[in-house]
Amino acid sequence: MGREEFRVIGKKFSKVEALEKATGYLKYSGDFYFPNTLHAKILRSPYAHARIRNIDTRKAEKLQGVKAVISYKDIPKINAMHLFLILPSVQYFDSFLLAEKARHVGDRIAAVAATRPEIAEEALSLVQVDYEELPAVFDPIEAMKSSAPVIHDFAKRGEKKIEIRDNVVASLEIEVGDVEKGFRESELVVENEFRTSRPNNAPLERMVITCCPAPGGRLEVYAPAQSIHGLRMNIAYSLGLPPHKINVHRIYLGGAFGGHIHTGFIELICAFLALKIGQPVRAEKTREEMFLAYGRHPFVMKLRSGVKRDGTLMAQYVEMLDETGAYAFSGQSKLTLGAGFFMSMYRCPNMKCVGKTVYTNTPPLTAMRGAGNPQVHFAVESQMDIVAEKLGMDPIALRYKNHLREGDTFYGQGPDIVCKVATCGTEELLKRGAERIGWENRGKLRAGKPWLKRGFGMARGFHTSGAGSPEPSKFMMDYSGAIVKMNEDGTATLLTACVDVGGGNLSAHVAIVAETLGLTIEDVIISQGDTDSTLYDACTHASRSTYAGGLAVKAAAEKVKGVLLHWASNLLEAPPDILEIKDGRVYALENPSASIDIKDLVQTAQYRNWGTAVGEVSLRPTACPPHFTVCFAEVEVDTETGIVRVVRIISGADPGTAINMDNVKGQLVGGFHMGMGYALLEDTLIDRLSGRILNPNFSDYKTFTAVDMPVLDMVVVETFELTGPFGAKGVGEGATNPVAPAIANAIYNAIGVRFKELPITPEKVLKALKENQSSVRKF
Amino acid sequence: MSSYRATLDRIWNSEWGKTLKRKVTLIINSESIKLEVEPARSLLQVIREDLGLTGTKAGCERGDCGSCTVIMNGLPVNSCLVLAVEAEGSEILTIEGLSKYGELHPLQKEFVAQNAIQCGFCTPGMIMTAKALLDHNSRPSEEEVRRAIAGNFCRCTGYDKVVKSILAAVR
Repeated sequence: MGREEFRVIGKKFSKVEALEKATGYLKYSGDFYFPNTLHAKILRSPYAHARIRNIDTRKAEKLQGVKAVISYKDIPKINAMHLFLILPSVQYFDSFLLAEKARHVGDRIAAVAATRPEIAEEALSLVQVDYEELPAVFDPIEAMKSSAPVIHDFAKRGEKKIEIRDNVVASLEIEVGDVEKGFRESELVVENEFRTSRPNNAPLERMVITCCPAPGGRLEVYAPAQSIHGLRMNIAYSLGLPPHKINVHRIYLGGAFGGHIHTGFIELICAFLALKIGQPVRAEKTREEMFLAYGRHPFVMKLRSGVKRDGTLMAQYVEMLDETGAYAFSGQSKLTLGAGFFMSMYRCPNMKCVGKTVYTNTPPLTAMRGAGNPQVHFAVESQMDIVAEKLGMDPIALRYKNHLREGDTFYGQGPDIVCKVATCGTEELLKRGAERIGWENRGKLRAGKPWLKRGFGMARGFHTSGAGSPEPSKFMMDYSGAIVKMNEDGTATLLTACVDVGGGNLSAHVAIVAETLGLTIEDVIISQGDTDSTLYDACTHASRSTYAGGLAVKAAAEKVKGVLLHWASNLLEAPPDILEIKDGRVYALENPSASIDIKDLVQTAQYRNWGTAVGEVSLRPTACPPHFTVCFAEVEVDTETGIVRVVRIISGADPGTAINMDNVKGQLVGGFHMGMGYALLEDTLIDRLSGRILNPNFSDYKTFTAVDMPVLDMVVVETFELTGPFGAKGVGEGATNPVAPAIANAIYNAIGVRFKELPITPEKVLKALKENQSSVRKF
Repeated sequence: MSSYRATLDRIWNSEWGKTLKRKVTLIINSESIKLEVEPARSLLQVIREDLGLTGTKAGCERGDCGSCTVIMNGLPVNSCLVLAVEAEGSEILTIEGLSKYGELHPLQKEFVAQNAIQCGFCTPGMIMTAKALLDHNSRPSEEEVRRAIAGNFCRCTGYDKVVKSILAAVR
């Protein structure tokens, strides 16, 4: 079916929940209130690294209004499970609900449940803790030295105990081809070190988890999670309960950007308290606590690239240092992902990645939009710019020569996940981006005043659409379930566990059902569901839900279509294989006048006791087709203040079929906003003496506002991905990946200073201009 | 053992304590409501917890993010920074008061139609700020719109559709 024939897909439609959001009706996690609820607060360590010699909760317990005070003495001796998706047998375990040893400032020492939040807070101050302060380490390179304090003596991988040496959680080494040979055959070899920062996901919604126990030990849970089945699994495992005792309700999230694909400690503590006390417990994070959790892993990357004079990439070698904070919430995933992404940036016959994931005494980090790819893009796309200049070659031409395209091997979400690229809009995106920005004017740009310098920069990139692979993964549960049923008025209900964190994936799913069953958007209803009623869904992550979630939804809708055609064939006395559904009717292809309204069809089926039409599917995607993106930036550097102003942006994407063009463009702008913050502004600042976060609020953790945004031009090149639902791929993370290097490259073009460390703050710009160095950091 | 706070809690609920709570009259979405509040409670807390109007959001409770924006006596305010007792006698408009009997305000219509809503958490605050702007300046320029919403943080949209929706609602 060609795109022109679509009735719903690609047409303009509002998101299905937009009205509820615009009227303030829709409830987020913090909007659920239950009678008799207690409030939980967590006592947090003031030290970055300290053993708990003794903890006395008696005074706190006696406080009027306090129902429970817990410490490590009271919790189950079961490791806390944090990751979603990953088989328990390969997950990393290095923590319990409450700490016996504080490993970062803010680490969870005790918890209180009381009738009012103020009383809970007062109770925290009455908990007496005798800390033995230990030396702490805040830098990943320092943490690997033999003299560094030991943060974890050991951890577990599944059931197996693994020794932690030099604070290294995981290591990785992977090679394709022979990089030494590749470098020997290169005519130019360039090596640089890049360092990325620690931005916070900073979703606007403050997390609230409410756990309501029922007699008999069942627990109803309301919490932001990018997978309700994942959250259920983690709570059940960590509390030693069978999963069916926990029922997690699906809700809409107020943003996540990867922050909620892990379970922290607060969810587990809240669940434990609720079951212990037998009353609903609500644990609400303050904004400071939101800054204590989440964040993009800082990477240190030593990247060596070898090319021929004509620009052909011969070899790429990267040493990757992944900092994970005090607990391995991400396991080794950012390292594995980083390696896979690195190997998928360009065609290159010889590639090697050597990496380590390292603990530091800083708050544990999680996934943040791109999960390893923004870091890799920054290094690789900056390096390509450097290589192009040394070769005297146009940076765009260098990309044309080497970019990953149709037929190339793609390592997607980690070196073990291998598939082939089927659709690639990169060349069209590069062409249009260059045209729109006026790339031929590069080097000739004029700003208004002599101290203002303008420059052009570009970067290309990609992200996966999920984590599918030809063979099932050995370490991941990567399938989506969907149920579609018909109502007697001819509408359909869609029931999945897929979570919408704002990107509009549920609306895309509605469009897919509508398109398949010849219905309108308004005729497909979403049932919110919970873990009791829904089938497992892998998680809203890796830009997968339109593609992989959509495939499951489409397959379930196709099953319903089969039932409808079967029923219609009885009524129309025609075989099902010559029947089709369109515009709310089932009709015979050769004889369109032989038709029946879908509404009449299902109603007849009900009246005649034939049943309810339903389709159910669990589907594992067998590919994770990359969605390709580009970013062209024009910046203006004020050489007197160091402030970099982004003047103009061309942001482009190949998302396959754009199911909803507004939503695709929304991802491009939103992704750009985050990328610009990553490049120029955002960073979690940690005091090097105490380990305290210095900017855990929106005044001090700077983000760009509506006044800071540049003129934005968007280019969407629609390829047709045959493996995707109606040709669609993802777009959410690709939108942010090339932004930071594009801006860094533009800054170089403007002032001749190459920044290899993020964020590129005014202070760094001024310092570099003063010193007139070509790099900010030297090792 | 009793703490200062727990003692206060008992006092507030005692016969005598009820006289210590402050009586306030708030005109919320054109409805006059009499309440008894503790002096330290914010307008945001009262709106959400005492009146059950959860459309106004608590993003930071320190006046940084704008998600708690309501219109108080015609001006947009961060309701997390207004004490409930300060709002005595004031006319407060929340997102719930914007649409009457299912009829959406033009701002709401445009936000929905233009797909300016992603996660939607900033949306009530954005719309209230925008309404206050349009009530004072019926034909704002794009720059004026951006300045007006500079105090409303959005993590999802990058602002451009929000700005377009506000400009489209200018009529």
